[in-house]
Amino acid sequence: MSDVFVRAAATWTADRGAPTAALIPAPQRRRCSLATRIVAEVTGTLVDRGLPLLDAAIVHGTGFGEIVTTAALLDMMRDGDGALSPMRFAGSVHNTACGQLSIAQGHTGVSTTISAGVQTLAAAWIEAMGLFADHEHVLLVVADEPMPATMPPHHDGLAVGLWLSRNPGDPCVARARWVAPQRNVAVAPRVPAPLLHSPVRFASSLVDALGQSIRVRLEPDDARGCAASLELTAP
Amino acid sequence: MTLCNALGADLATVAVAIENGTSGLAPLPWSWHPPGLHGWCGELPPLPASLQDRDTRQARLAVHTAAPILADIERANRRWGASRVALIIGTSTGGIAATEAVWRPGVPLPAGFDLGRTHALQATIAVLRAVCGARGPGYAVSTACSSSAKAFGSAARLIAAGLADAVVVGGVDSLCETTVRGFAALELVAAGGARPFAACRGGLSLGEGGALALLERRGDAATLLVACGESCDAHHMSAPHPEGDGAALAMRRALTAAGLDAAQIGFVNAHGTGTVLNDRAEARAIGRVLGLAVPVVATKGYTGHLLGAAGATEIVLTALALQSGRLPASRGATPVDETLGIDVVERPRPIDCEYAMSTSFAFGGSNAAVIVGLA
Repeated sequence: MSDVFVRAAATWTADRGAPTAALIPAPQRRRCSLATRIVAEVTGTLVDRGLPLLDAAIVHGTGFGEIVTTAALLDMMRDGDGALSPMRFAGSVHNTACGQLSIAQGHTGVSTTISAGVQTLAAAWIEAMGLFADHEHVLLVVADEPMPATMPPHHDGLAVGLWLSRNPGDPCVARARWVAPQRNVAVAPRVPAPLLHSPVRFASSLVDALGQSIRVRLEPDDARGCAASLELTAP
Repeated sequence: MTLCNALGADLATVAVAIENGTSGLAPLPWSWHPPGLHGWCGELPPLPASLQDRDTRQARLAVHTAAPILADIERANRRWGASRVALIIGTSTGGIAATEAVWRPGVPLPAGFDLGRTHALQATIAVLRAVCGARGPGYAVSTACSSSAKAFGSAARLIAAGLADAVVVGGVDSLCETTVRGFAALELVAAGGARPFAACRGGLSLGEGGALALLERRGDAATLLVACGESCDAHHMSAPHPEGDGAALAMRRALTAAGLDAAQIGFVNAHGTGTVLNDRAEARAIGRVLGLAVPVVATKGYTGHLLGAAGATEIVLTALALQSGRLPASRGATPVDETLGIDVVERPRPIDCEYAMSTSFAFGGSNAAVIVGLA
């Protein structure tokens, strides 16, 4: 498996304040959930660093998707006559963030949303590798908004965007080689307590490791004690 | 390959039902009397004891769908090694029906209710992994109604990139209150059942079920996955581009990836939901890319719209028609909306071709066109 080059990375966490999500025009943005705005936020940071968004394939990984909107729909169903808001229903699908981004930016290329629980980051990486056959650039974004209080256990919001390319000549922050699930790949990273239950929690430690030559896990151990990882090399 | 929907739980049963013109659409047997007619699969066998903590309707549908091809998957596990067999499933609803059943506004979910093992999309992957033994990469593609068509694109890319040698690919979605009430709120549910491409069409019917195929790097299958073209409309969250621009782009990309001319596509299994705008936009796209003479079949009048499982269901039905050399009637299409200008198949007819296309379009403007061919 050949190497992937991480051109740039961007992270959003709650301590950075409300996302501006400037890639989405204000009238459209006002109707967007936090789950969508944090995806737009990290994408915007990467666009500012040169990501050619319209030429890139987009892989969006999320464990729970538009979970706050889903909880609101469940409330509506159990209150009054049970009627739902049509706009919120249409915005409850997992690919809402990709849809809003494509509308805002005119992205007509390949864009997909995948989900695999705590393996979402590893799965998104695999999906991105598949897309390199037809694309020079892949935008990988994994994101989960904070869980509603009625859906414990709680976790804080997290979005991580990675601009990936296959061209060794490009400046990059890390070279990454996929390592299929195996035993004892690396010590599991320390995850901040507010993110302990986030499906995409390992993404923040991946960003922290960029720039080092180190093996990083993409997921917790599975039932066999195996985990997928990346072999990172400093540029 | 196999499928499970309101018509039956295996390929042969569903094929016979369609040949006989049987509809699986009926009023839902729910206490609040949902509007419209929908494709309900009825009571489903419980999960094995080892999967009791994952026992949802979605999980039951997944396991029930997979049953007829478990022996084939086991052979693939032995042939390639289980860690080289991936699992990519399109789903939109996941197990949300389980959450609906216990939800009380403003009150935390009951202690012991595990969202990850029931509601979340990976729960479907986990139960399928448990019953089929595939140990390669496993994930859900969730792009609403194009989910399981795009899963075929992902599966083909995984094999091409050397990340897997075989993929159990398809889709599973279960009927739930959220989707029935949601489409009712959008005023898209047809009171008398879906009639795709009919002059008097008035909306869609929902459905549930699944469809699975075993893709392998090489083998002796009768049908090939030739190419998948994907695009975004970049237009509106819940309405298609009126000229079908995004749909046409996906269809062109599929042709380009396949290295085929439009004239080599023998028929189209259309997304054909039965809503006024979707069918019109799709007809425009088909006419622009494949021409007005290509036969167009819509099968949602039999099964309802299986949402995240619709693409896989219709890819399997496309493969079935290619193999049998016989196009099914588009149930409910007569009298056809002549203003669409396309050749909607109203009665079964013979077909002699090597390639066919199945199209899927979704909320968020997500489009996929999949070309299948005879081996």
